[in-house]
Amino acid sequence: MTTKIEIKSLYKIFGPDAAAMMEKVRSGTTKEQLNDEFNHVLGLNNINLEIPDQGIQVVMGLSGSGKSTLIRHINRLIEPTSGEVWIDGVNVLAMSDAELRDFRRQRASMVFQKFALLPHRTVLENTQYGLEIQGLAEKEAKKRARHWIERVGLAGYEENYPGQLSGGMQQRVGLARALATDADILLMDEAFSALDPLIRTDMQNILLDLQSELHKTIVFITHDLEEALRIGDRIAILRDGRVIQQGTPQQIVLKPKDDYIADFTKDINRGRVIRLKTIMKSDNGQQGPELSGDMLVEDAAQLVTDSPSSHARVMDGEGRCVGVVNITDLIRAMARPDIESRIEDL
Amino acid sequence: MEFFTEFPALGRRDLRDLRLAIDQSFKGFSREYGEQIEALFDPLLQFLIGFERLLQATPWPIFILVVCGLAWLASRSIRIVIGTAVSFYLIGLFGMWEDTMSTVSMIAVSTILCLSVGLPIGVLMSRSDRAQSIVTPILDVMQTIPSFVYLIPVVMLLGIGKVPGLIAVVIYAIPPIIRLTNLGIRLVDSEVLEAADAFGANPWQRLTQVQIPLALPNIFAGVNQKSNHHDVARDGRDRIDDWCQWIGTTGPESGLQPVSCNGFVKWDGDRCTRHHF
Repeated sequence: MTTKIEIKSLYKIFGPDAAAMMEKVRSGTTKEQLNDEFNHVLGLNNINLEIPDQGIQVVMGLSGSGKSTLIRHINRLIEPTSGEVWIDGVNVLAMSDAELRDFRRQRASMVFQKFALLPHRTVLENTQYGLEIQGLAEKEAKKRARHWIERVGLAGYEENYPGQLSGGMQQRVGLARALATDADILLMDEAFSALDPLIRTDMQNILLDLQSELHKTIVFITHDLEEALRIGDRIAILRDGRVIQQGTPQQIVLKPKDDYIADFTKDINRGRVIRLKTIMKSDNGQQGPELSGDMLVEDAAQLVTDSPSSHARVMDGEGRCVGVVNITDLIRAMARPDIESRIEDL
Repeated sequence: MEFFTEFPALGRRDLRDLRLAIDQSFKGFSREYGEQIEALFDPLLQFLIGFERLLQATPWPIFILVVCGLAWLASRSIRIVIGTAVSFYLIGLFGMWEDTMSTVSMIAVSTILCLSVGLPIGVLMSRSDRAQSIVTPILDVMQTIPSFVYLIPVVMLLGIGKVPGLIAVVIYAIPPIIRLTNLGIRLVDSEVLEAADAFGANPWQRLTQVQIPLALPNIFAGVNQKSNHHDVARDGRDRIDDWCQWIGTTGPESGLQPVSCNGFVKWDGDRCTRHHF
């Protein structure tokens, strides 16, 4: 996959004399020292991230980890203290005001945690907001806005005001507004965090559905690991303004880099993260249902349990058998790594 | 001990000289520039007179119809529209139609004037803390000085008439508009503003599509304050001397008439603007 967005040695220090503090951080001053001795906050600490084209990059971290600060550097709502942000080979930080506005209008749209809709405009008018700013003719803007309202499942609500809608519906408007501008980059800042769990899952499905067809480059911020694992093609975990691990959901769950991440991942349903090709063994001629290597362990367990065979053949994209799994492998993959110690405790 | 009991004020002669000097220089100034300044305000006067004539020339049923239409547009409430019609009917019934038309034209013109001056100043204050720190004390002074104090130099310059009345109203009524415009814009949800930025709005789009619409409830609160203050308009309009005479020669029962007419017009404007916040 080609890289769409490249973030290089990005630092952000909050405080009146950030530039001077930059030297101290480079020479090894820690976040705590900077806070206690110099009264400056180290928001982002040497971030390096390559975000693939047409994929969903999740940035996960707890509050205060700097994830919202990071996403705002991609469309330069926040200016960095030091570092570079490249998008398709263009340096965002070198753009003039006019170029930056044009970039925001055409290339990168954003969805916000608290929806940030205009309360005095109807759903339709909110959805066409970005198009209006682009300078699109009213008639065409209305047509496109209606299309996207329908795509997010809000047809019939065009003339309602945001205040009359539930949170989930308001965020659908937020999503429609962002999609309507036809930008190739979609920035989502905790977009589903303010919603109830059921509605959140709903919205995740809508997003994944749309993405399978639109293939945008999505940067998705969340504090919820389940959500990160569910929608992320790649995940970067942020702590204290620093990326502590990045990789695919499987890599995060199977090889947590430190105790902090291991602690996070231990209660995760691994069957919904791990894929067959990760745990398969070499082909030993066993018979059974033929399953894709990208299938999730949980789904495979269901199928193997229902089939007469205790094995399944794992196939690659061209229909060749590349390995096998049996029911024990599947159960072991789903079990928590510390399950044995828990049993001993009993 | 005298030092502590008597304030060491300037001598009587010094004070008199000071007074004379101020008087003379202001008189000189008004003799020198009075006509130019009057000419400067002439378009305003013509506009005011023209507007008043237009209102007085309008047949009363049409006027009531138009006002009711405006009340409907502003409030979308049939009760307020009926209240408007009834109160104007009562005003006419008590024989104060002409006077009310002058009052209404004064309110309308001063509102237009206040908004066209107050809104930009309020916007400027909301964008710059420095502008805010300069304008705020000026507004404080405008709101604490009684209107006749600043009316004196204005009357000396322009004589007694409509324009000084208008100036008095504007000075009296513009501070709440400026303050509430500033406050309203500063209170706009920062996430919505961020969304405007994220979609590439330029400063003008930001101001006209987000900041002013979202500040509108507060701005209307300012307009409401302003139109409730329009009784100052009467001070100027009724020509101060007339007014003094009127207070001196008439009893409380005839005072009731203009006061109640004033009250009706005020009630109407209040209900219609209040609807917005």
